[in-house]
Amino acid sequence: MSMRLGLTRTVVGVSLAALVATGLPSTARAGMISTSEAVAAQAAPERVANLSKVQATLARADVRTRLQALGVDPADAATRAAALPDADLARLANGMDKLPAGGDDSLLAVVGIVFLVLLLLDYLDVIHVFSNHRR
Amino acid sequence: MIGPAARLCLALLLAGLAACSTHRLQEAEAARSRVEIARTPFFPQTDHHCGPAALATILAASGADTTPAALTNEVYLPKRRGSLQAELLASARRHARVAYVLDPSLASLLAELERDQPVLVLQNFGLASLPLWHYAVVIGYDRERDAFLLRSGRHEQQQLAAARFLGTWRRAGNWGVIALRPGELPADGTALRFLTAVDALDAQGHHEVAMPSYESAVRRWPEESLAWFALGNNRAALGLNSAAESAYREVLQRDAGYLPALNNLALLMARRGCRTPALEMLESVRAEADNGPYAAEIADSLREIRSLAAPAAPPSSCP
Repeated sequence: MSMRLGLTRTVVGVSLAALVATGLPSTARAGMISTSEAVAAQAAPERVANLSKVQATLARADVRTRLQALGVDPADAATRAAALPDADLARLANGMDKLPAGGDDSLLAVVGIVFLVLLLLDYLDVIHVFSNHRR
Repeated sequence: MIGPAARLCLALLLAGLAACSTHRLQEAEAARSRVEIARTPFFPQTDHHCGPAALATILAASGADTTPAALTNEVYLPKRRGSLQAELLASARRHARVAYVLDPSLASLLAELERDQPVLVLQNFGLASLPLWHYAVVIGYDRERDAFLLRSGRHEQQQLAAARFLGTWRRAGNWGVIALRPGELPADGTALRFLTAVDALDAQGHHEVAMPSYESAVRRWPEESLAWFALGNNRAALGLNSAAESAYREVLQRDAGYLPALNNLALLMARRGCRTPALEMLESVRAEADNGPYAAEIADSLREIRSLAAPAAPPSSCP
């Protein structure tokens, strides 16, 4: 007998996200790099590189402060980033490359952080500023 | 000028030729004239339960003691009137089997059948845009008749023309899975594909069940860093720290810059008192690791190792 399901893509996406998420540094076996993480890095090196770039940005104190001021939990944002499709993650990581590194108080840096936070929120589906790439 | 009718005929003819050239088992280099894994048990499906029936078939064929009725609660979703692929894989792991998803190719399917390994497949009997999904178990093929043999639905031995079967299988992404006993290897495929399957079992908490499969992996792929690294992690998870260290050292002998093995080895060394050599190992790769995927873990490890009290006298076994 047959059945219908159109969830294959979702399931693959969710499992990949889970795979990547289990390898994140906050897991129980502190410090030890898991097999899942090494497998993911070997299977999809670009995705893992992009994700670590996004996670590093989300861990920056200036970005976290700005996110919290907007009512967004940085941990929640990190989980959402891990679930982004490959293409969105790549575009997001690419956008971050073009920004100032932060750490100084120049006007350029402040503008950069605001832009960065908006870019993050847009991709993480909290608000839509730059694109209607979804829905 | 060619009229529309003539063009349509040409298209059909070309499609027909294409079908012949890719669908003939003889041309796909089927090694034997006939394969039938007759010992494969048969569980006729009831209602919409093709998922539990197909899963029970490959699990029982691999020696697990189970039935479709016992699996229905684990894998059948009444509202969807079906089972999800991820749940079939998870259920196979609960029965201490490595759920190995085949490379999506006809060659891999034939290779498994030719060593008497029945393969659970997903088929789409509808269209790509309006799918009608079905799980069945391929138990062989007949080269002369150009057909596949399946346990499918209520058919104990369904003979499906190769072109028909391969069409339904292709529309389901050529998805096929086998249930491997601990330590058993697939007929072909990469170390990465096999280790992904074993790690999924391991990550469900079955460290001891997974161990023989990691040992088989390093025997088949002795040059593969990931295989030794995974074996090391499995041993560490079982508390066999000194054996884990040797596995990590095997990696580093082949690839001195393999960061995951360096990181985990350094942590195990530091935790048994060899703090100084562990720090030196990680400090030497820190700059290189900085922009890579393991930067955060390596920074965490350095913090942890520095916070450990220096032992009065380091153990004599420190390298």
